[in-house]
Amino acid sequence: MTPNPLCKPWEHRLSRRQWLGSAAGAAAGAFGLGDITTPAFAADLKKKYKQVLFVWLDGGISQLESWDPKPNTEFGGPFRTIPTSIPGVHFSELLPHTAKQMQHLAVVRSLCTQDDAHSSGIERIQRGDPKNRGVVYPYFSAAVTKLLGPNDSGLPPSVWIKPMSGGFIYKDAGFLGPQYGSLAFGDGKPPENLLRHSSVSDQDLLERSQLRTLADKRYSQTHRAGSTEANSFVYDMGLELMKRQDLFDASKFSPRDVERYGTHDLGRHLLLARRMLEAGVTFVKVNSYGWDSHGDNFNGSLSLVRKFDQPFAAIIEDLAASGMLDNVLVIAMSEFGRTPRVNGHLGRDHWPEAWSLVMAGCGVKRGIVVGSTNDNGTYVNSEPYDIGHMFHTWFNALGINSQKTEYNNGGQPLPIAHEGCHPVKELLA
Amino acid sequence: MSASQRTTCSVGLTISRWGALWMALAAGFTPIAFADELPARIDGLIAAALKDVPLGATCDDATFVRRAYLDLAGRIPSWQEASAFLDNKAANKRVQLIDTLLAGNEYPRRMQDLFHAMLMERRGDSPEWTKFLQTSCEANKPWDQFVREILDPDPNNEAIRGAAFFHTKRLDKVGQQETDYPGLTRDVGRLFLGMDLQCAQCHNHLFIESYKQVDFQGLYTVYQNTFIRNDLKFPAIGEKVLTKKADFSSVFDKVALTTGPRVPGGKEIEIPMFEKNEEYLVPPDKKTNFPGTPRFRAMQFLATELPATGNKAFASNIANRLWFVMMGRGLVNPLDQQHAANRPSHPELLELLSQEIVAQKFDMKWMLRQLALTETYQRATVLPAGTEPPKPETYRIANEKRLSAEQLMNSVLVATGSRDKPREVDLDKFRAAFVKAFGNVPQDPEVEFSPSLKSSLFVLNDPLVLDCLTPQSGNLVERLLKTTDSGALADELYLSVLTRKPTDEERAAVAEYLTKNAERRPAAVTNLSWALLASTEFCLNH
Amino acid sequence: MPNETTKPQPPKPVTIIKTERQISSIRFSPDGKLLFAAGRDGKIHRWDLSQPQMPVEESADAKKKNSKPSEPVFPELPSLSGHDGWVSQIALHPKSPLLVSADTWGRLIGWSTAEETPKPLWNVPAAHDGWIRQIALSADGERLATCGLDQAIRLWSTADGKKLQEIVGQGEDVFSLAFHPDGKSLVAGDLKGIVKQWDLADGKAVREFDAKILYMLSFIQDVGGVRVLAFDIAGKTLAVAGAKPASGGFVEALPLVKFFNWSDGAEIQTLNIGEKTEGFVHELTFHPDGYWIGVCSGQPGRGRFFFHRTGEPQPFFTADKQMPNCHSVALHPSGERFAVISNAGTSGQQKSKAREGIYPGNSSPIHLFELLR
Repeated sequence: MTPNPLCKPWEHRLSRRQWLGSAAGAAAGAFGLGDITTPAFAADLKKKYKQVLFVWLDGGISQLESWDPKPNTEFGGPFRTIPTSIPGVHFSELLPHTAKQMQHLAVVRSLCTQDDAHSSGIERIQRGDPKNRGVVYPYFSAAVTKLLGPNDSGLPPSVWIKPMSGGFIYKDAGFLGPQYGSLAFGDGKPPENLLRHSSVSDQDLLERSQLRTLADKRYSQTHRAGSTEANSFVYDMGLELMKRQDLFDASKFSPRDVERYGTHDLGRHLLLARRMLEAGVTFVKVNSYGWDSHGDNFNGSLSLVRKFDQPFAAIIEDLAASGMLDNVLVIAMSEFGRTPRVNGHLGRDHWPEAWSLVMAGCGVKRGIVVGSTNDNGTYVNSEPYDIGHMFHTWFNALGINSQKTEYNNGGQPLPIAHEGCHPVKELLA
Repeated sequence: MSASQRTTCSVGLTISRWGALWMALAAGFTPIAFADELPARIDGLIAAALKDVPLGATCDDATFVRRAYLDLAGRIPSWQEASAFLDNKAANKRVQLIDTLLAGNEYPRRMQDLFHAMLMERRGDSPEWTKFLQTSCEANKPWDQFVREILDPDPNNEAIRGAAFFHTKRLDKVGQQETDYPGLTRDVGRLFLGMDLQCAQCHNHLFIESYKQVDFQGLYTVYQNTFIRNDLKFPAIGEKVLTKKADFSSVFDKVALTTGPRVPGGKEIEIPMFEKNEEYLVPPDKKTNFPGTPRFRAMQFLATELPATGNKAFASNIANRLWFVMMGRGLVNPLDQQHAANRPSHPELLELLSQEIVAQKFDMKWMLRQLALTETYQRATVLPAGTEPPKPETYRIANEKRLSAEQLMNSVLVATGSRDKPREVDLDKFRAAFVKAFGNVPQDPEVEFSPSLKSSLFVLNDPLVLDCLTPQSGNLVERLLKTTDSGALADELYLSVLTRKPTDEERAAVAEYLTKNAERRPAAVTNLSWALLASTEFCLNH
Repeated sequence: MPNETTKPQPPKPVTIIKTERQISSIRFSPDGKLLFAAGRDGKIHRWDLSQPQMPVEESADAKKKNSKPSEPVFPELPSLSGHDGWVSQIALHPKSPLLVSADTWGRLIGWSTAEETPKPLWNVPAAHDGWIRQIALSADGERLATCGLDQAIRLWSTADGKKLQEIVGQGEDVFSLAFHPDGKSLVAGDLKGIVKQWDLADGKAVREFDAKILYMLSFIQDVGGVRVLAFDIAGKTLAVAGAKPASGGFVEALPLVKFFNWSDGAEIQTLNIGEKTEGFVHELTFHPDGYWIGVCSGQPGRGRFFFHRTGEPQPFFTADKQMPNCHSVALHPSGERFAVISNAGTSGQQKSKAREGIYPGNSSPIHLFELLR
């Protein structure tokens, strides 16, 4: 028998899909908080909006060519190391810009996770690999937008900037339901129909909106409020996003920023991500593809890691300079690391057993390295951390008590992170 | 078959056919004197459950004509059709309308769209599947036969072989995922028995005592043995020779159990064993890739046992789903949660409907007619003044219903007068665009009103929608622009889009807005029309 | 005189020299007595080919089972230290007892091979900023050219390691270079598939050869590069090799060589070797009999070496069995032997026993062949 992957969404819930309620609730400023059972934190969150930038290097960045170099060892590869802004901490020479931002960063070098296959690994990592309770857990993006609740930006709470196609990505939301999916900007481009049609003037648009609001107001006088609220909510969000077409207008970026971030996909997308964060989007995920360097890993890393380095350092620098880093949690990671062993095609294969990630910002201690691997990087020789530890840590960094907060899945209480793991205190500010 | 190839689909009708329908209505023939017995019993049970709480008012004619068209023809009425109904003085004109619509040639297409969305849940489409649905809906195929043909599709019957798409689409491999046999098993339970056995896959359901793991496994035994046939060019499903029962154990207690094919709640069938080389009725053929027809086919067993008159869950599921279609909320809600712990809001009523539909040999048109004739159906959605909004499951007032993507598409074309355009509207393109904008995500049942950013941006900016509002060849905006009197303009606008006369207040607002924008009248008229199309009132069947 | 009409018979395997670690490049000494290897362990490894030792006779039983005649064993000499990262390239002076070696950290060392254990004659710790991709000696051995990741092309005196010349303007990570046999020009090939001819008299670019087919941008990854540049002995034909990439990440690619006519720059031939899922041509060497010996490496387990005569539609000999991931080929000065390195060990990501101290890396067995002329 196939193991059950999908005691799905709203399974145990009586009302299958609460979009109506959620949309209405969001309009009223209480986006589905009723489904979370922690009374205390909602009010705290209101004080200052917290945001997340999640940079996903799909396929697996080599820890040895980035955060945990082992120069001149058997599996160390050809590259040198360089000092960072924190004495004693070294990165691979492929991260020259990020090395200068180490005072803002927290590097974890002791990840030891469970899955070495992309197909399952990506999901397990992004869902926090919780204990199997027969439900599909939400991705971190959906979890954060659910747990943090709405802010007043008027923008979609979760956007995903990625190469290739865009659209409304709902599957990531798991049992939380499709409304916690992400709006994906394929190749950084705006969603379909965002551009005002040439036959409609700004004045027309404004009047249309006023006339529609008027019609809805009249209808709602004699009907249940939920429907008109939901309808208005999506029109308001659409109009808000239309007003913010500057978000997608590459010509509005300063030439200096374009140069600092780089003109390649990841550079452009991280610059767009900065703008999305500035505009108030709660969760911004940026994907970079093609990191699965089973072959020619070292030339591959030269290209990939350096093209990550430049815009990543730039956005850390910018967020720090503007003070936003205090409220934006930044995470950069993959589904696993890469084998110390170098194969015959000079590649490195999948390696969940000893790898690294980097984080910064909201609630995270700055300028530290946590955990270590042995001399040639083949195993973690400090306390190994699974992705569950990271989920606990990130939730706590965002002010969410991960050991007390639970999802309420139609009466079924579900922990928000693996209960066998705990927050890594060293990482928390 | 694509929509544009069809001659009978609702918006592809020629003007003369529409005219004929309108004439038929106006002429007022086929009178049915009294409500049948069932509608009265239904209303009685609804009223009884409310005890002393007063029932909501009956809806006005304008609301009724809109509602009936949407439910039974899949679109709003044109302003002419609406006027004809409003002007009709016959006492039984509602009954007339119901019967005319049920007899009309848009009813089958409405059913086709309805069952497509219900059974495929926006997973995709196939011309073969469309053909099966079309054939079935045009014939008002009894539901038990309908389901039997789905559960054991006949590849040799060209008209209905596409029923296999129900299975093949669900068994499609997506990326690296495993073939979703559990998903197919689950959907058979959900859609035909109203039982979502999902959580019973690995253990007896935690919260639903009546869902047993064996219920899931008995079906799963059948489906895990199936495969998509690759020897045929159309969707077709094959079965391997079933030789042993399914082993399963609860993830909780790990006690090993077995079951053969079994309809939930029914009896397990012993798997017959055959001598070697005797297990096939028609043996496989390597040359043609024909996979063989086993002598014992569990799908055949299910197709006989599941849609049987004695299967209560089967009857109450369809009774409940048809009730949902007309009343906006299932007596059992959600529709796939029929079990002891989720009692129907009106158990006696569901029992009655189940018995009646069995007695009528699963005649769905008959059932929809009975429901349409009830006072419950014909009640207004307007909230009673001065009290808390009634709970939807009381049916004290009528419930607002979501318009499907197809209903919206057809209604936008009718409202804006675009169906009368001399040039052919590219219906395939229209349908695809509306389904994309208004359909739920795949596998998510379309039950509640679910506006989204995607749909609002579509209405705000999509050229397909905006083009309907460009003045041209007798369409709504062109007609309005020719109407100099603002009162008359408001009347025609509201009747065309919202199927009602404007209130005085609305009429005044239109006049004021037009006066203020006299210099840009075309834009102003277009804006007024757009605003009503985007309004909640238009997007709901209220 | 080169024999351009006869084709050699298939090469005969002589022996396999096992190594502990992976190797970047191999070279024979001009007298043919020593074999040098640039190690990915930062060392230069050496074997004495002049004194083969025959293994102890096996028992009669074992002989029956294994009918192959026993193979000679060549003793390994002490390795040379002084490099960091990987030793990327080695070259031997055609006349003088000099070995030049380069590494991925930018160091260049000239070793005197007159002694039994070579000693550094000169040592340039930062000849380049990082990875030195290729080194080449002029035909007379007086000048050494180097290129690297830092986009620089430099010429050095082999006598003392002094920098002679800096060539500016290639503008990309420079993967490969070669002196024209006339000593007047240098060709350099880069990541983006541009091959430039540099006039050594004035350091200016003379012309370009288009090998952009050897490059692709896959998402943000620059994939490919001109991995090999080589001339035939007469300097009439320039071979430009690498692969036509199909994807980043895995780096699936079609091994490919382009041959150009040196006199007018016209393309003679584009040769595809193998399938599009393989990998790079890593080295080409020209045999005095008028054909090329080339090696390819690909996905683990893929790769081959081949013999090809310019202009013919297909290589006239290809070996792809039991020889995965060939990274380097060296021709013995006699023209009667050659050596190819392949890969041995494991790939993949099976559950590690690293904690128990078991985590073997891969190695590069050196296959010695005899050419029957």
